[in-house]
Amino acid sequence: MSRTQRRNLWLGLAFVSPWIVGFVLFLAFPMVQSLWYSFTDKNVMGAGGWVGLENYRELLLRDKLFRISLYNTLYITLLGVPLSLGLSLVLALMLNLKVRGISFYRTAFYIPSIVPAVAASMLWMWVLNPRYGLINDLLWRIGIKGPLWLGSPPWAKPALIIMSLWGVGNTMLIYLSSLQDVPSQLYEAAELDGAGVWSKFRHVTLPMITPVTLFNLIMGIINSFQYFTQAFIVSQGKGGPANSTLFYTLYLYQKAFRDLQMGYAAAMGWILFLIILSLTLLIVRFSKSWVYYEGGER
Amino acid sequence: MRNGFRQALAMVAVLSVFVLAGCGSSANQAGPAKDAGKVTIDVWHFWEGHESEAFKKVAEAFMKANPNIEVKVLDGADEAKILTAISGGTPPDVAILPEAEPIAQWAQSGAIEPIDSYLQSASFDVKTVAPAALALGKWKGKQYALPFMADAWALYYNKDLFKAANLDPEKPPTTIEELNALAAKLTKKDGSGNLTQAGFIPSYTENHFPLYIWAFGGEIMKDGKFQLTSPNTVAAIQWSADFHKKLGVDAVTRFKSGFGKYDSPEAALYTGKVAMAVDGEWQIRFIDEFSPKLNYGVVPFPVVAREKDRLKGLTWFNVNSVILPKGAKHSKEAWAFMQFLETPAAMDLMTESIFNIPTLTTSASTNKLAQNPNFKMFIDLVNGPNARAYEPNPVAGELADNLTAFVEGADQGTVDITKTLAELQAKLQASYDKAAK
Repeated sequence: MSRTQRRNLWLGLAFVSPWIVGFVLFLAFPMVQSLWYSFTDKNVMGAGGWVGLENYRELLLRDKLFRISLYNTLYITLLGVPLSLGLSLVLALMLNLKVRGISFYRTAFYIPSIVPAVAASMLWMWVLNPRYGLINDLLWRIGIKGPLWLGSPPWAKPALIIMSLWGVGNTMLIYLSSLQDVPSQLYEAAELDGAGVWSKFRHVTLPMITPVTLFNLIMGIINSFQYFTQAFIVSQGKGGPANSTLFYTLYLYQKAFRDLQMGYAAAMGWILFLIILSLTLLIVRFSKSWVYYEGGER
Repeated sequence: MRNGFRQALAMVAVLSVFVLAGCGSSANQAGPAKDAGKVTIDVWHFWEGHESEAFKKVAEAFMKANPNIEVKVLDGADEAKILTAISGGTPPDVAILPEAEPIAQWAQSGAIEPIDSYLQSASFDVKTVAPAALALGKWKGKQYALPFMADAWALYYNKDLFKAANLDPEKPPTTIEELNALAAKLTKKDGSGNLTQAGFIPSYTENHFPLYIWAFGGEIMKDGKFQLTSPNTVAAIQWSADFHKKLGVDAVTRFKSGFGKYDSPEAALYTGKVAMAVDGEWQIRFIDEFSPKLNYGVVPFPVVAREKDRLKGLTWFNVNSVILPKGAKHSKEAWAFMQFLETPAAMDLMTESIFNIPTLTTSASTNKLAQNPNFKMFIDLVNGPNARAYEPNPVAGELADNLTAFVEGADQGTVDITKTLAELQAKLQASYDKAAK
């Protein structure tokens, strides 16, 4: 390396050093430390010795609540992520139309996603109130006796999914911008070939937005697996009723800060990391078969 | 080249400014120079607002009697904050927790100091501390905490609703069997099956299952061994589940969700939506404030007829715990303050302001609140032989959450009570054994 190159390298490192320091102190070091803790019995005061794989064995083979929390998390992921992708795509398509006042509509549909999670949860607890909430009130007017939503174990998770669909603004926005990037000459060519609205959607729009769909899918799954705030507020940290809202990270929180079993919770954290990592790699691997990059590899 | 060197130098200078600024701001505020010989102790508690003001008066009374000790009070300190301070090495000298449950776990983790040696030379008569309250601060034979005021639960009932149902308002239920019968007579539904008045709902305001278990003569835990599968315990849970089934699980949930705000004139107890309800001693003051015209009575929660004599005066209570964190610097002065809290001067001053139950055996005669016969009943319950609470154990949070989730399922009718209790018994016993090693 020449002198100039070396000097530039040092200058570059100097500029990046604040970020490097932050990364090491607040991300890399805690990650390594938590991996270490996951093999120990550590509690909050620091005591606790090496236990090897015991935490992992306990979690994967014996802990019933772990399985329940995993089931709950998979439930909202497998149900909530496709629904949110679908809804945000439908909204983005509608907001892509050249209608008068479209910027008002775009703002209106986006705003719910910036309401803080805690405030939104408290708001929705009232909307979903079995007796006086807006939703059951509307259902009653059309003659349906609404379910007990957050007060009933089988309906608590669907209620939370409805709550999360209210906040699809971000995903919708990303879809909207990618819809606007679809070259209009493709649509014109399709029309010349006699394609109708549905055909144009299926053969032009959908393939062209697959990169963004991939992105939204991965981000949706990563976020869904870490679902915490809303469940915590709605169940007062207990995961009720009857463990129906005990999600993975909520159980982790209970183990760490209620039972003070930091080592056990650290093991849970690393298992979650491995789950999300493998799912993401899996999706990326299979993405080659359905994602179409214009001008790139197919 | 010189240019590059100057750039790098500038960068380092800018960085150092940020680093130093960050380090500097974390220094504790240096107060005014301490008076020579005066010791300052930090006392952290969880009260806020007007209750915090009341505690300030207690601290002032202490400082007047002990001019060489300065007390710095910090309010709004919850358990997590206190625990973090202890594990971080900067604990307060005295801390007051809102409950007794964490004591065993914190003692086991080494976060708090035992006070047996201090108690041997205590300046107050340890025998005046209500025995059941004192016992909540004990773990593995050592005393770790002193109680400072209690809350307790009893059965409130609406005398007017009794009269309207042709029941004697001066004959509230004294046994579970009577409770069942009276509740049935006091329950009303409308044409479409919705509840309009409930005689009693075991899960309002929350399911008080420990109280019910003890009322049936059952136990949650005894001497470190869980008793969840004992017949009386199972019977209590089954009773609550059957109660909900009879009222209609959905009907109850719908009914409860329409209740007005608890601390407002629209609360269910005040608007005649429930005729009898389990509630705490604070409800006396709440009724005075929100529904003064309510014609009510309050009695100890009824027990099964066969245990009527043994379980007389049953109550479920909890105490605030005063602890000595590990690593506190002024233990002698901290202990002086802890002792002061166990005297009528402090106890009565605080309880009269914030309407909690004093935990001294002498309180019934010294405390002004005892002039209210309903409140005096609570004082007597806490000092009585059947003041019950969770036995000190290091898995209290896990125990409470697991049992709460289970009871919710049982009330919904969706779990096999006997089978699940057996599973919980095994699981919680394993957790306990591991944590109590």
